[in-house]
Amino acid sequence: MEVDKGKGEAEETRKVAEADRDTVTLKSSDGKLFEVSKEAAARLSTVLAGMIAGGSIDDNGTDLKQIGSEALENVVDYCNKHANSIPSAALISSSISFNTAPFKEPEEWERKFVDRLSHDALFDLVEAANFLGMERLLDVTCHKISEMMKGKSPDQIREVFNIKNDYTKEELEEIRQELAWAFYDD
Amino acid sequence: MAGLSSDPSWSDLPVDVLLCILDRLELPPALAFASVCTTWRSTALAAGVPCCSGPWLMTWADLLEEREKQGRSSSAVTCNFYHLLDVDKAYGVTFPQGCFVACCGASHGWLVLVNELSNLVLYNPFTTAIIHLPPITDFACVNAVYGNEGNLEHYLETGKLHEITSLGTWFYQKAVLSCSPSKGGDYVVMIIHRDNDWLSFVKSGQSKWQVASIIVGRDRYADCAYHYGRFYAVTFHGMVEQWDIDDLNGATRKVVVTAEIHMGPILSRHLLSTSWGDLLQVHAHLEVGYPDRIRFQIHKVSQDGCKKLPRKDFVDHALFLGLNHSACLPTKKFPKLRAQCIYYSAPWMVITFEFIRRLHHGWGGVRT
Repeated sequence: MEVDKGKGEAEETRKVAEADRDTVTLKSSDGKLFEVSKEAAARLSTVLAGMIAGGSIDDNGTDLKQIGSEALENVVDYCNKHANSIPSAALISSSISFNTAPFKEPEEWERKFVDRLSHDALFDLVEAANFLGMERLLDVTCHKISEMMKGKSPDQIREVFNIKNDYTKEELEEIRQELAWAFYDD
Repeated sequence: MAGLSSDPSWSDLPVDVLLCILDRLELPPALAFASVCTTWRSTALAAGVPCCSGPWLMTWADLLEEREKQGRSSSAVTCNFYHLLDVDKAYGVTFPQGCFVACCGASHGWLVLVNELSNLVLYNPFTTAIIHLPPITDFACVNAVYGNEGNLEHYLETGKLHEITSLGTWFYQKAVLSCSPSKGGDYVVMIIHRDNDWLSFVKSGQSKWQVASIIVGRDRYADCAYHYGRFYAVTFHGMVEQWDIDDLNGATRKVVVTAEIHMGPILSRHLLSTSWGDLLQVHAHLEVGYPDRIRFQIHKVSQDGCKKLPRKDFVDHALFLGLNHSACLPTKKFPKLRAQCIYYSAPWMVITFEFIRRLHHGWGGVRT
């Protein structure tokens, strides 16, 4: 990290010390602290990379008020597991376009990592990944969610994710008719 | 963003995340996704998932290329599906391992596939249900050749040895179902096969294919369809046969329309069952003065022969002519289709194939 020469000496020393540390401390919404590899955090999360580069990392724990401790633990766990892993260039997947985006299949350990999560934990993790701009983790979690929908009818998906059917009676009838050929086999 | 750990609701996921999930979905779950709840639906609609029903175009051209590159492979394969209203977007549909080598029919939401043993299977891509039809070795002309260890090595078809997988790629031309197998009712599968010479069928629950007819001479079967309780088959020369399949007598044939001599090469013939009760026979032939030099003629098949169909009869319908399935669809029910149009996916009959390939590259599209 480049040091700003215009600042005072103490500031400089502090910055150097911070740059020398190879972890950052993150604080969840419920006040728990987590250490994470700085290199992995910067590589995997655009938001954390911005914070590290911008110097807004707090040694006593950078506040992430939007993320609960369970989700943050998973985020940190994921980053640390990734710490000695493949360079980020291989992980970049391009923007939204149907089935044409070169999405790299999750690695075995990534698969296991999301497989062990409860639905609630998966939900929190996907939101955290989205909030922190963690494209790869978002890919892996979304991949898991999409797998949970495979071979399921709309009714079954609602059941799996405990989603309330918020259509009016008329709308629902219309949709049923529309998809009768696929899911309801009239 | 709301408190993350308290009472999560999947329907309230950020749009970015929903799009990311949608992006990973193949066709069947993408359509299911689009009807789960109002937020998911609006996300799917915004992302262009076609929630209206309508015919899907299926292609496995990429797959054939890939297969050629890799040699024989045995894995789950993914085909591309295109919706006619948004042809730039391809949706994947993955088939279970070993069950897709080619597709030769699509009826009532089910696909008739050729599997890696060159046998036919019925597969529903939405419910992922699979039904195995009797094996290819049912036909007297096909014998299994076993190796020393009792493993199936080849098929012997009229004196020629074939790879187990490759025989099926040309053995079947077209298959049609009388009704959906998912209702648990009695269905019949009729197929045109063996160089378009043979017409065979099997009923649900039966373990044997029955050959209904073998054409001799120069004519061949072009298409078959199910229409109001009976099967119909049309030949390259325009003969239309009606087939009654019942338990007592097997299959009974009746010629409804006799063959006609037609000048010039006919590209394809199709039979279409309509909702108003008519059976249509459409043929495409080359004629100067028509777009792409293809002229379509639509006839009504009746007990006393073929009559030209008056235009007023299909004023609010669109015709789909395809290799695996043809249909006449009411535009009222499918509001985005153009009425009085023919959607043609450039199929051709075997005998004209070589001739055509020299003339044109790639047809398709809407025709009024």
